[in-house]
This record gives sequence, structure tokens and C-alpha cells, in this order.
Amino acid sequence: MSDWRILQALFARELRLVLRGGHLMPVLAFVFICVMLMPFGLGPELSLLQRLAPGLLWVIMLMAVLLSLDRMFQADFEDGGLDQLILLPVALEGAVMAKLCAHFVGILFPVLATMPLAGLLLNIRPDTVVPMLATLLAGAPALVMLGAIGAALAVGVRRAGLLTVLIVTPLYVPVIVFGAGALARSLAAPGTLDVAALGMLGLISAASIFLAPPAIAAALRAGIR
Amino acid sequence: MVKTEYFSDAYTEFPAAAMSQGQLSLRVENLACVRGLRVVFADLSFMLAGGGVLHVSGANGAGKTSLLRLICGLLAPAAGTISLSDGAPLATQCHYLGHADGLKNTLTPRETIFYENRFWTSQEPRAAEDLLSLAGLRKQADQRVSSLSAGQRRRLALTRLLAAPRRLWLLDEPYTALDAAGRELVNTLIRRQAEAGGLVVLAAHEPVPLADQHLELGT
Repeated sequence: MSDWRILQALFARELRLVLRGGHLMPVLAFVFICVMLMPFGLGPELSLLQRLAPGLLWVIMLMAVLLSLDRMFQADFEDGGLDQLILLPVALEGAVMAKLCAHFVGILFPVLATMPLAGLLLNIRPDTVVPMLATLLAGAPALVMLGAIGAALAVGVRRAGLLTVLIVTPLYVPVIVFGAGALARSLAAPGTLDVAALGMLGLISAASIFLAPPAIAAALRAGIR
Repeated sequence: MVKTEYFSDAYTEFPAAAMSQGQLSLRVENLACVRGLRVVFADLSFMLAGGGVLHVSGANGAGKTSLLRLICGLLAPAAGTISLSDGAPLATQCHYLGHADGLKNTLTPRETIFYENRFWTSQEPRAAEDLLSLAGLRKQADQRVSSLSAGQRRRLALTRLLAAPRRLWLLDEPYTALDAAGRELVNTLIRRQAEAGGLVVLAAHEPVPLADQHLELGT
């Protein structure tokens, strides 16, 4: 049996579920509410907003990812879909990757696409939009993979949102440190990319792509038992 | 047999000699199940020969669902072994239909069947129209699953059994929420599976005339 064919079908189904499930709009609304409220909380000083923008954008991105992952596996657990996912004639790690890829395409890409506008609202310079997107894109896979580990560990726990946040927040620290740092340096010197930090972000993302699926699969198996 | 839309021409084509891989049997030896600190059952042994239908009954909490989940590998046994006579891994040989049906509310029955076909078989998938007819859901084919009644959802979930031939069916309360025609559909599917040499283990509170073995848990 062709595993690839099954994974393609699973990706297509999950993408359809993500797009129809109404999960995207709350996440986008969250991003825009955060960005719109920042000037009210921090004051209208443009230079202050510009200075804080890297950290704010990364924290908003992180919170958006956590918000989107809240019920990623919980819904499957409740409707019996998780049993079927585990019993599929493919490795559970592959099925998890198909789900996460669909999540990335269906939710994270649109969120990333709004980030330039969010950045401009926080007064970053237009010529720093590309470096900003590059750093966010390099770190986003790590955010999703690490967040999914937390979501999988919390499967079967009622109202697990807080538990997920507590589990994954420590894991996010290196991503935030390198991501916000790289973004800050890129914004300070427009037109440049902090290649070292970007490379480190890419490394963390690559490592999480390889290491997270087995951890998620193990957590899901444990969760249904 | 109740005559309904379910029994279209497509029905007669149902899994043609799917199990023609020699006589198969399921052997369970000294099986024990522990949930938390509670021993659900222990030292459970039985054998189900090819073409057999095992009816598992028992009070609530006696371990019917746990037994089915142990057999398909969703739970790990505390002790004992479960095996097929040819040594094939159980997880790849069974269809499990649990209490929760795994259906997605935002898909339509047609889409559900489309994806199930692709998940479970690499061969030319059965036409969605055939399976929709079989489940009596042609009129609801393009409605969201969320708009279906509990019985219609159950019938849609049953089509998973036909997406690909599997030698072992594990059915947890398959008659739940079904009307007379739906129950007849389940019985006919089970009968065909048994006739093809497959195995069926089903948990149900009501009597199952089709069953040739009965296991009462909690006694």
C-alpha cells in the first residue's frame, strides 16, 4: 500500500477540515486585536513601538500558534478520529506530520501573511518587511512542532489549554530569543539579515521537525491509553 | 430482510472473497486488562475460528470496549497475548468501529467516503455512490455530517468496513441508534464477513442471533 498516497489524502482532508472548521478567523482576529491595542497600552510614541516591535511580533506569533493548536488533537480524541488515525496503515509519525503540514498551510501561512501589515502598524520600516518575514518563517515550524508536543501531551485532559501553555512555554524560550534577536538586528540595520541567528532558528526548526513527530506520536498513544 | 434503499445492486458486490487467504483464527490467551488501579478482567482466553462471530456482552464497565481496544492494539494488555493464526500484526488486519465514530462534522458523507477509501485501500476504491446507497444516504450525500441523525452517522461509519477488506472486524455497540433497516444492514454485513472467512468480534448488550460464540465479561 502506498503510504505517500494515504498521507496525501490525510493532508487534503485535514486542510479541508482546517479551512471549514472556522479556526483561522479567531487566530487572525487575535493577531489584529493585539497589534491594534499595543499603541494604546504602550503609548503613541512611534520610536518606542519600533523598538519593541521585534519582541512584540514574535510573542504575538507565538500566542497565535498556541491559540491555533489548542484543540488540534483534542477534537480527534473526543470524536474517535484519534483511534482511526492510530489504526491507519501508515506510521503515526507520518500521519502527525500530515496533520501538522495541513495546519501550517491552513493557519500559519495566513498568519504569516498578515505579519507585514502587523509590522507596519507597529511602525517598522517597509524595507525591513522581508527580513522580518524571513525570521518568522524560519522559526514558525519550531513553534508549531513544539506546540504540538504540548497539545499531544495534554490530550484527554479537559480544558487543556493552560496545561499546553505551561508545557511548551519553556521550550519556546530559545526560539523567541533567537527570533526576536535576529529581527531586532535586521530592523536596526535595514536591508541586512542576521544570518547566524537565522541559521540557528532554521536549525531549531529542522531539529523539531525531525524530533517532534515521534514525541507527538508517543504522547498520543499514551493519551488514548 | 428489510427492503430499503440500502440494498442496491452495489450491495451484492460486497467484499468478494476478501478473506481467501486460508483459514484464519484469533487466539487470546490469559489476557488481563488493568485500567488505573482496577483490574477490569484477568486470565481471559478464547479462540475464534475463521468465519466466526463472537458476541461479547457484560455489564457496563465489564471491559467490552477495553477488550476490543486491546485486540486492535489501541490498549496494551497487562498480561497475556493476542494473535492471529498466521502471525500477521493485528493492527493492520482489523477494522475497529468504536462508540465514537471518528466522523468529521464539517465534511459531507460523500467526502467522508472519498477519504476513507483512500486511507484504507490502495486498490481501485469502491464508488462513493455505491457506498452511499448502501448506507441509505444518497439524499444526504452533500450535507454536512453534523446535520445527520445519530443513526445516519452510524450507517456512514459502517461504510468504513467496506472501504477495504480486513480480516477482523471489531464492532463496539454496532446497533446503537440504528432503526430496523440499519440493524439489518449490520447483520447482513456481519454475515457476509463471516461467509468470506473473516472474523467478527462485536460488543452488544442485546442478543446477537448471528453470533456463534458468546463471551460474557464480568461473571
